[in-house]
Amino acid sequence: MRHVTLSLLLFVLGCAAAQQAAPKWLNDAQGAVQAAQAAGADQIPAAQDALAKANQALSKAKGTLNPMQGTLATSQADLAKNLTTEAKSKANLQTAMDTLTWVKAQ
Amino acid sequence: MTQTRQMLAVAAAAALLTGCSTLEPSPALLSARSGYQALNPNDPHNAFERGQAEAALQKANNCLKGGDPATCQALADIANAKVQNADAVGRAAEATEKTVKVQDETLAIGRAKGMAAVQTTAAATAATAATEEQLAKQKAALAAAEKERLRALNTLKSFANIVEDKERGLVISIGGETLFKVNSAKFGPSANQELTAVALYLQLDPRPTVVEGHTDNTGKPEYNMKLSQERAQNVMDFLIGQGVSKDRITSVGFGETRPIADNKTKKGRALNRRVDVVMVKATQ
Repeated sequence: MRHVTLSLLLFVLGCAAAQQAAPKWLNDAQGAVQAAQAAGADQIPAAQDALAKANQALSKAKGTLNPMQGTLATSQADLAKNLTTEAKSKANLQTAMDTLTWVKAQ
Repeated sequence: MTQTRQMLAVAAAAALLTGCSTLEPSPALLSARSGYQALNPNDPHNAFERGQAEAALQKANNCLKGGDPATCQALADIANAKVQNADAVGRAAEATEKTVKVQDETLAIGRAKGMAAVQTTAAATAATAATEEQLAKQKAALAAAEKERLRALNTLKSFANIVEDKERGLVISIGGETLFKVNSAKFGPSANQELTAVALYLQLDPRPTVVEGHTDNTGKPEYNMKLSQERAQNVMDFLIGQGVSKDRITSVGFGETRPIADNKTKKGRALNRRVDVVMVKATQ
């Protein structure tokens, strides 16, 4: 009887642990979306669409546990992040060109 | 009448099967294809992302042959995102490089005019801080891609002879006995593992590639030529099947015409029986 109780307890604990641990691909997708947000993708018009698609795919991935949706979320999030970098790089270039124009005019 | 019905049934079944076996490319896949074609194949800043896009596009293309429609759509969306990502990385790097040049010019003109450095560099410094951070990130990404390439190259060294040839480029030379059954163009047991490693490397190194087949001088020259051509072709087909773009790879058989060792000795003949995967040197 004691063995049966112990086995049941281990089974319940095992199931609980399995339910808590998210698969690596889902953690990767979540990390990629967070990185895009941290880069400021939600503030850059050119990146907002990709960020929205990343969030949509992440929701689907969580709901269906489909790794393909996780990969899609990661890809869209990477795109959103790099579109943000591109927009910032172009803004920096514009600032530098404005400065050059000003210096030439002095 | 019965025969006509049977013929109609067979035709309907064939049409249905044909329809099921190959899917039409989705707008996302068409967009990914055209976007990939528009990428600059020689841009060093996004070589890693281009490799990822190429592999994703290959998967999405392969899915059309009998894949599940939902899976194919997801693969097409992934490929499209990766192609756009490679494009964005390239454009960002280009803007950063231009920024550095403009800032250098600004400082040079400011100094020549004897302007107070504080005022001249104030705006430039603010831009430089952000630019340097981006440059550092890009350098780190390039370093990570290079590290991955070198790791894949080291794997190849366990079974292939690697030479950086000044004229031809990087030559990955694999012994014929390692890849093929004796006197045949059919793969031997270790071919799958080794050619998969070659395919992985090719996806990290985007240079145009030529697969060359070579033999020793045993047997008739015509037979050796045909065997080397078939072997090179089979290796190329395998690599394409693993995701290497067919647009960047060709195959050629040289038979016994290009020995690298003395055919009079057993060791020399073994060295001459080989397949060379040549990553063609870029012309400047």
